[in-house]
Amino acid sequence: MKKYIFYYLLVFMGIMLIQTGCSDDAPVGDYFAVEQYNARGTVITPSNVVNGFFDLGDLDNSSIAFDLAQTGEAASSVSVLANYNGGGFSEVTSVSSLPTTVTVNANDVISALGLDANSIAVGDVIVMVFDATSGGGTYRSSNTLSAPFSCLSALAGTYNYASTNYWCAGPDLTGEVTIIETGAGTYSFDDWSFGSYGNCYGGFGTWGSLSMNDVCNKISLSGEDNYGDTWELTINSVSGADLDLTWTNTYGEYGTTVLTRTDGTNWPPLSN
Amino acid sequence: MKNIFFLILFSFLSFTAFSQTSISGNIVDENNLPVIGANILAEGTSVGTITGIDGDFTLDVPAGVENIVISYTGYQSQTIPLQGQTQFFITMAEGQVLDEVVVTALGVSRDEKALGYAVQTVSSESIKDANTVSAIDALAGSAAGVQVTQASGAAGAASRIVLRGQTSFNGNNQALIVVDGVRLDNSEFHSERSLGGVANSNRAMDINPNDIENVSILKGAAATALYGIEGARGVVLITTKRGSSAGLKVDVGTGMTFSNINNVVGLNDVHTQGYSGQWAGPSTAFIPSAVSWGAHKDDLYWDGSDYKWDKNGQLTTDATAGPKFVPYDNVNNFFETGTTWNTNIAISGGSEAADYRFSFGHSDEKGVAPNNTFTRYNLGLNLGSKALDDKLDLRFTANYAKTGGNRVQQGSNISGVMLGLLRTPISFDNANGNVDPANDVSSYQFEDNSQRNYRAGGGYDNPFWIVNNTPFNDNVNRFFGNISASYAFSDWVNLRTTLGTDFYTDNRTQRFELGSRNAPAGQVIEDNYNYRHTDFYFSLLGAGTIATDLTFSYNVGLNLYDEKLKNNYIQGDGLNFFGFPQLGNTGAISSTIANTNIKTAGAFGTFDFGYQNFLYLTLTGRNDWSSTLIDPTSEFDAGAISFFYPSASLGIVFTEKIDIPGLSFGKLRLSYAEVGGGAPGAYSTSTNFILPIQNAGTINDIGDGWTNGLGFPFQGVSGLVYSGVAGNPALKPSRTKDIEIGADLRFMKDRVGLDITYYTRKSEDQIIAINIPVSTGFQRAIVNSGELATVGGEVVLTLNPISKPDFNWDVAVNFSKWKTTVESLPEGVPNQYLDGFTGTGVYNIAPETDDNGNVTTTYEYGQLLGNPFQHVNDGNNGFNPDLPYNPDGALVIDDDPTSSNFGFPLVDPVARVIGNPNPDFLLGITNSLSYKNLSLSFLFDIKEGGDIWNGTKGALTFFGRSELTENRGTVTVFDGVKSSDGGANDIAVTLDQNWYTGNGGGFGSVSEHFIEDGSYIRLRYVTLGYDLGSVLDGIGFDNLSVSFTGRNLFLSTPYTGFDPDLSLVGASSNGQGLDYFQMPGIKSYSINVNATF
Repeated sequence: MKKYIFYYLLVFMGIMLIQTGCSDDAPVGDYFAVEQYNARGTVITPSNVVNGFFDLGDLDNSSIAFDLAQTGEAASSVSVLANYNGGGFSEVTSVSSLPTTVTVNANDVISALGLDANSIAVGDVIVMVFDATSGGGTYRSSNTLSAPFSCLSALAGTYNYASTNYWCAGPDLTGEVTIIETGAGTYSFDDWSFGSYGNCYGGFGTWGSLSMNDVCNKISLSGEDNYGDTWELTINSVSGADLDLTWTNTYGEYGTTVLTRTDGTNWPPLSN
Repeated sequence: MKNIFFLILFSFLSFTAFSQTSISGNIVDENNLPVIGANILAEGTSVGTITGIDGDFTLDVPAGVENIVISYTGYQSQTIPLQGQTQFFITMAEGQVLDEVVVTALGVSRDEKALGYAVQTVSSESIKDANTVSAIDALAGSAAGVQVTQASGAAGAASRIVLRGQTSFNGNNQALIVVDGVRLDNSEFHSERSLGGVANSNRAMDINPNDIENVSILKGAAATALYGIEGARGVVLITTKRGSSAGLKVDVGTGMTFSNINNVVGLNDVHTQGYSGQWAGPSTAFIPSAVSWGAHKDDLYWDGSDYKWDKNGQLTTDATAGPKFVPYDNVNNFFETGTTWNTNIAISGGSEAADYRFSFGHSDEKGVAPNNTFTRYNLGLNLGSKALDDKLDLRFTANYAKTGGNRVQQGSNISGVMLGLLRTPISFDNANGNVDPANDVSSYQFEDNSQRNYRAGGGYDNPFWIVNNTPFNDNVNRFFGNISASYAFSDWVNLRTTLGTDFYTDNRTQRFELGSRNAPAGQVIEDNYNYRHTDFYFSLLGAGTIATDLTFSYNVGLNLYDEKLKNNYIQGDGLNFFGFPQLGNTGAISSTIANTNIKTAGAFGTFDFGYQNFLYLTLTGRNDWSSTLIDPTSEFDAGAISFFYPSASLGIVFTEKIDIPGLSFGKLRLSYAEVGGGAPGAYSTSTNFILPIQNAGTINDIGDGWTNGLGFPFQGVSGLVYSGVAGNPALKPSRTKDIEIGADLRFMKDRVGLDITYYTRKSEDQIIAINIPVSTGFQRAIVNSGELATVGGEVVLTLNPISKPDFNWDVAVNFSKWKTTVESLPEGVPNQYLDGFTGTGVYNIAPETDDNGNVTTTYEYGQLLGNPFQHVNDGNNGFNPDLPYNPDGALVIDDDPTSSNFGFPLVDPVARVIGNPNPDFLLGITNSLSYKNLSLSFLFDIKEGGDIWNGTKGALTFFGRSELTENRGTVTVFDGVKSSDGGANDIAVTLDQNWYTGNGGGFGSVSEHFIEDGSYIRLRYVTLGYDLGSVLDGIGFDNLSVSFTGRNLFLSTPYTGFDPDLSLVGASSNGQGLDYFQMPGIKSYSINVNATF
């Protein structure tokens, strides 16, 4: 026993040595790209969308059309599925060859999802996803298409303005202002101050990301100017071709303006 | 220079009239059997031979040699006086008694068998074989418990050496370096932030490897306790070469090394500058872009138009416009073959009464990056003398080093070479078609002095601009050495005193020419350091027998240490005109001066007892008084800055008492030691006023390498501000406690040796800077709290598998493993920042506890902290941010179809420990073979584990320059589960620009996928030598040898970055494991010629 005591000690120290720590797992960076970046599945990409929303004012004739193209594995079929306000998806239509153009009618969506047309409100959203079947299986594409229920908006144009009671207490002002359509139902003015900056500062402001939104005749503003101020626009009244409004911003500027159409048409019943 | 060298060489060759004496003999063992292959060496020379198959030998002994030394593995060495004899009949005794002498603390040589702790010695031959400019680099893999990490592959870059893990949160964790008994400063100063700037040297670089006789690695606290808290980090004890009594000897050596980069992170070689698949170059109509998300190379053609950014014109998809586009190879166009020319001359000699050695060394290194140079001149003098019947022993060593060079910007730095080089798209030619682009100004500069780079003068500097227009020059003049005297009144009473000093000036100039991206208005920095320390020892020592079988030795004394550092930093901003980047040409000059003084007084004692060559006990104690603990708010109290720490070690040579078959020697070791220490830096007990320089930052804050703090003068007004670090006048000493047990076992007449060590260490009452709420007026506070614990082990295996007259093979295996964990941080402090970036940094992490306060998880020192992706961690295919990180869990995929992240992994909102830079183990395997006059040695250096954040790859992925991004457009389905229901993910996504410039790249919210394993197997060096000595005996050479060395010729690693052996933040930072555009590692080939006559 005595002769071999050092061997026991040796084994004891060896065990302690092994116990000094356990080896770490391989870090994620060692295998992330190798395991996660393998080519697999098909991505369906919608493009050239015609009508980005379903028109609540005329659901029977409302539709959205778009092109579908694919990358990745060649798909043998693509199901177009939709959900309503984040609910479950149901198939609306399917295609068997790509590229192609798909038209989705509002009533098809309502029917597929079992919706009550009368309960649909402005701002409700249909999200469409695309499930592509290829040799590797069926995968949902990361590209989606959102289509809100909204209304047609046609506020773009050039109008006469008459500004009174504005922030620097100058004389009444008249001139032309252009409403520019920047997207479906979104607009910007070429002069958000309706002449007051020109009179009070001697020039125009820089309008930054200010935007006017029209959702079924409900008007609101979003964004901020380049000075970081936000603006508000209040519809005072709509009377035929005259739109009476008041604007203010967080810098303390304000004014009242009447916009007058000159094309013989009237303003829609806008309100806030 | 070359002619001068040969002139000197041949001058020495003329001294050929050496006379010789031929001797012969026979060597047998105790059984009268011939000893085959025993070494016979003329003492003090390299002249020797070995015994033949019948034990016979003959040797021509040079004149002046008085003794021959007989040695053989497993037998006791013998020194035999010649005394005019020519015939020798020698009997060798088996090596039951080790007579290997090692240098221990305070330079005391002791018989290795008497030690109760592990000491390893690295010989001058090993250092010579490693063939490095830096002596520290030569220690990599050569001893257990030693971890050497290079800061960068740049010429003159620092190397970090850590022994057995970390002992300090904030302080220096590198080994203390002691040369000939006196401390050597190994500071690494940063003139700029550590994440950027240049790869500086640390001052161990000033040592001439050719002056080193041997290196003792003292690892445990019991071995180093007498050095105080600095010794707790381990000690590298360097003994320099001395002259011998064998007469005049001249050693001349010269060598040339050629080096190349050995690895570059994988790059995208097919996609051009631009975005959304469209090429966009500098000044093109399509807005120029920083990134390489442009067209594929195969779809582009040069149009031959007049385009100032490219001699071939702009790129177009029109195949009829001109020749097909061929990518530019910017990396290969930039790097050169580096060269290093080493020259060493040493003249040594002596007599019984005195010895001398004078050496000269010159190393002239030209890096792989243009204009990156490093030069070192060394002069060494080592004089020894004995007098008064050998009772008085005097020694004087003096070393002068002049080092410095021209360094290039690197790291997180828009004037960094690698950052600008690797981000450059394949469609932009940094060289502008020039054959010698580094020396042709048109490569990087237009006639109006504006910069030519791929971002039209913005973005990042052209690498050729950097190496020409942003030079960093340093010039170090250093002296270190000591004078010592000892007088032996008797064996029992010796007085010894040693006065050592180390002082140097380090003068640096950093210039940024007008238009440099780091300082567009131009900048000049003069950063000068004056360092000095004195290290004084006075001791009384003696040894003898105090009773039958009982030996005793002692060493008691005093140590006074005084260190002063003055830093004078002058920064000039805004050059008035181009072409004269001098301080006097700047518009605004600001400066700051910092003076630092540290003093330590110590009283120490060590007492060694030996019983019957069997039992050895060593007791030590030291009391220190440290100026770093002085409370400036109170009256001086010496007791408050005083701390005592003891150690005890026991060596049991059990084979003296127990005869174990096959075991020729066996010893058990056991030791306990405490080491106390003051604050890691000066003035931690007070809150200081500082003068922050404009754009230089106030404290070493967490930063991203891009932003700096407030500075003065501010709008023309000078000012001082409180440092961001609140001092603490109540600091008390920190303490490290160390337990070590081990065994030294030798088998088969010592031809097999096994040394195994197990140790634990606790470092308590750490003095640590913690982050505090900025509402206090400070960003950090110094506190006395926190504990580190280390547990580790080492195995050293030595083998002599073949020992024949003409053929010998030695193998040395060094295995080491340790784990340093953070046992506690100050209460309420979740982590401690060490280094790194805002998104990914290196931190010490406090242990996690359960609701009852019980520790559930501890973390190793210096963990990589960052945000991972969400991984399933709740046992139910879901993710819970309140539960621990589970990297092996499936990815959680965003399946909200309204999310822009639909189909991609979700980001874990909690910063997690995502990597551990500490290795699992280190293994060095050295093989040394000799056949007649031919020798071969090679070292395989193996590191298992040690994670690295490959930030270079991450950034290049964002820029579309990483090889990873060549798969752009690939459709994939991430393996994972859907976030809503835990079901298998089935959402196909495209790996496109959006992904890689978002969370798929290095600038997104996630860093987990760029944490990689830094393991490697490396052929650290291989040296093939041939000794021509015997051939050239007739013309006066004692020895002439030629050797070829290759370094890093083989590297196997899963790491996809530059080199897992590099560290962005230099040698001095405790935040290791970061890779971000530092200079790549190199491999090299050398030829060396050494002559002795």
